[in-house]
Amino acid sequence: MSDLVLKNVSKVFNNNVTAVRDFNLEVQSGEFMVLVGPSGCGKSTTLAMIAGLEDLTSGEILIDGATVNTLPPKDRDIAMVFQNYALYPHMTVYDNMSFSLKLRHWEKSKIDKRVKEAADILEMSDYLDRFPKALSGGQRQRVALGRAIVRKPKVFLFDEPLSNLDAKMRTVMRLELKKLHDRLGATMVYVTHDQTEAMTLGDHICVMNDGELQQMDTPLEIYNNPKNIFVGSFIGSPQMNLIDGRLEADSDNYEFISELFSIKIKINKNTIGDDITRDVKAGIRPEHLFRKQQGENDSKITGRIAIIEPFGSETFIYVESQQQLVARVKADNTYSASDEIELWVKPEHINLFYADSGLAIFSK
Amino acid sequence: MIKESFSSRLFDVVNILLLLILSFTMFYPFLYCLVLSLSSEAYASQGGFFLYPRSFDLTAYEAVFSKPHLLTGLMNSILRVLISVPISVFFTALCAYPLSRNETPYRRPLFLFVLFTMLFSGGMVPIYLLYHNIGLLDNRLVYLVQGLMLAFNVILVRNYFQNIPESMHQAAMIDGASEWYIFFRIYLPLSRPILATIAMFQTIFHWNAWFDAMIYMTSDTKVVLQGFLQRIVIQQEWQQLRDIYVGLPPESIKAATVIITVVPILFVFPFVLRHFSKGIMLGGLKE
Amino acid sequence: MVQNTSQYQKNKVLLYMFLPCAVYYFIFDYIPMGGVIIAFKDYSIRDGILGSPWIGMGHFDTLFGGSEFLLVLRNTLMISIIKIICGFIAPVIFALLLNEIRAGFLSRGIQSLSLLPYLFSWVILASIFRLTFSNSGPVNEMLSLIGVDKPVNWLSDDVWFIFVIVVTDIWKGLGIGAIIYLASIASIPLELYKAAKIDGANRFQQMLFITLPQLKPTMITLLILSMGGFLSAGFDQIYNMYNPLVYDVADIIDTYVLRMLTDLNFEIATAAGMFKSVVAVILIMISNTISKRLTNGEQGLY
Repeated sequence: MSDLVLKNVSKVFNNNVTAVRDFNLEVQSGEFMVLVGPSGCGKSTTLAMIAGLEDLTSGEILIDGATVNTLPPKDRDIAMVFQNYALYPHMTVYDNMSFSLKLRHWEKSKIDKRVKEAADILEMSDYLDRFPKALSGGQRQRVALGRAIVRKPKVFLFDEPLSNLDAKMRTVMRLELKKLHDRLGATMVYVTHDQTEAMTLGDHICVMNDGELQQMDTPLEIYNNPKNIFVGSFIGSPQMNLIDGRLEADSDNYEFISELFSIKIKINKNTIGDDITRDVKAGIRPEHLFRKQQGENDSKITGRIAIIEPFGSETFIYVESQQQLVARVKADNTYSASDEIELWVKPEHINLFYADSGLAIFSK
Repeated sequence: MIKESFSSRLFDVVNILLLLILSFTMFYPFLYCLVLSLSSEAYASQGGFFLYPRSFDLTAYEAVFSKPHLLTGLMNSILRVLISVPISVFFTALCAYPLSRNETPYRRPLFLFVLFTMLFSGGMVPIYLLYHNIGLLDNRLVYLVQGLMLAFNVILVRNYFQNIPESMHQAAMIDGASEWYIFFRIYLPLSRPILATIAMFQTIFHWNAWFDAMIYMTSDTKVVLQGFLQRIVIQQEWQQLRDIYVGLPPESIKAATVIITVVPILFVFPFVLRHFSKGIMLGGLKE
Repeated sequence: MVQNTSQYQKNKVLLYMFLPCAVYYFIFDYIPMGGVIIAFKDYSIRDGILGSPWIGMGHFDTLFGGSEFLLVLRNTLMISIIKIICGFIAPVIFALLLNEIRAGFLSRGIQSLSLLPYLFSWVILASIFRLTFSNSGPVNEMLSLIGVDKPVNWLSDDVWFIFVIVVTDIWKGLGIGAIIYLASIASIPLELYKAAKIDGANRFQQMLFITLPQLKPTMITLLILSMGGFLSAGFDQIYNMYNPLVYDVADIIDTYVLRMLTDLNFEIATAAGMFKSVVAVILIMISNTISKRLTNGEQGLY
């Protein structure tokens, strides 16, 4: 397996639209790297540049230490799985999978061995001689995967491969992909707009927005310590609650003050500098709003229940209190709309961000 | 930047060159004709390969216009197109509508009834005798009858109708509209692209028709322009002009007639460009 | 579909819409179809179609017994076969080549120009070609520039005439024929080409394995349809371009029928015309069946 490095990669299209801006990334050999972000953030363009389907405007891409910018896709030893599967409609599953090897003039017996191997791994030996149009979405996706596996490439690329599947199939295939990665130990770069896929599949996640890399970290780090408001809001469902307020200091003690509530927080002095009275936003994840006070430093927010969404094992409560908040609590039949409610929050669950730049203020 | 192979670039150069030469042959014949029609004797009889007119001599046009029936031919052609095309488009759509609705009784037999006319024809003789018996011979109405409801066109429009969302029809039915109302006020307006395509086909068909004029018309005043062209160029009637316009080369006369016939149809050209590929796709021909 | 009476009542109006069209088809298409019985009768204008006596296959015997019709049949077949073989592939190749041009304005311009010949009737084109292929015309002029001294008798030599007929027919149909194929090509998802590039296919292989298979259904449909015109060989074009010097290769069934018609030999004319139509229908049915057999029932005209 191989590592992949992107150095200062940029892409500007002919109409002066900058799709990707100064992108730097290191993917370790055997790692599963996810590129996630909203539509138009540049993740697919980045993937296309790695594949060689798009030219770079500037920067370098290296696979296994060798620069591949000038090479066409077929010489980069990469394989790609597409959102719409892109199976050759006039060829059988077997032919679809063996196409790339045939083009490389491999011996028939070697091709057969590889295809059968891949078919075994993906449990699709049964439909090798069927045509794509006779297959379901999930089966087609397997063929697309098989086509990539057969190549044993240095890097696997995935372009939103699960987006066209129905919800149930998506969960099944997500697991399959994870198992596949464990089994093959291959370097994989995966593009998606779905943050659940990102969190569950990636060894590391790159959150992208507007052509720029926002944060690259492990899923848990991104979840717990988002570097800016965008990352904090994008990852996590339902979305992180954001409350406007002010940060005030009194020697070593800091306090977040807002219309909804006030709370004393610990902040690392080095990260904040001298200008301390600033407009900030406090980010609180829905699952961190509790029904009961748990510690003496906790603060209370009061409001009125607007909507209740029961999910079975838990319930989302939408609360109106100067602004709308979402709380994620254990399922309980004691709530009804228009009830008054008290929500408690702990200081260590507050993510503070500068209101102007959106950057995080860290407490460590 | 990604390097392209040499053979790929070579192919591009050769391909573009070949296609450009091909394009040149597409319009050179007309250019040649135009040049010829504007040339006086000295140049025209030289023959050869012209790219631009060496003289600007309208004598040939004068000669052609002096021939009786040219203007009547022109009028006949214009009238023919202006009247036949809209009527044809309308009836084609009218025929296609019931065929596109699933609830039309005997839909399948009716469709085969129409389709068969595309496959089998009685031939020139029975048709001629029929026109004779109905009184369509030497009658301008025969122009209207030609290709009024071509099965090919009906199929294109039918396919287009079938691609209109059924919910439109259902909503109208709920509102209490009759099938006539739905046809006129909903389907026809929505079908502008395919109807424009059919209109274009028919315009080209009617403008270019010459054989029906030749066979079915005995009065010279009822012949269309193409029939006139056919006589002058193919049947060599240009010779009658030689005595009046001494010194005018026959090529110029022929060429002038061609140009006169060609110019009006060129006005249709932009429509052809715009509608043709759209129309074929809309008519589902590739399916 | 089977409908009960109340449904039928409701849907009757659709039949009323179809009625005027049915009348037209009946009068102008089906009645003439019935007129083919003239081929089996001893027709006289006085007695009319129905009054004239039957003589069975007599006219067909005359037709196939004489050498004239057989010569005409041979010419028709020869021209038709050459035209179908060459003229069928040409628009496909043109469409593929046009598709390879990456500069949009260039391919659109070339495509637009290629549509020009479609606008014009064979009367116009034949007139123009008589001028361009004449002994002193531009074609011979160009040939003399590259060293061919004697002008070629394009339109009066048997072989060259056929050559010109076939080439100009392809030339006229290139633009319009390619459009249908280009529409098919446009519907191919771009992802397929991306996948092929990654798999290692070069441009030619992409054309072979992705573009061409997509065109196959359309090609088959058009091929079957062209069977319907198998014995037509292009009357419009040939009538306007031929002359007595090439009659023995250029006389086709339709020109023969026209001659018979002008000689008021109605029965022979009808017999020949009917022969043509019947063969066309049979050919379409045969080719449709063949196509269905070869593609497991998927691909056919109907």
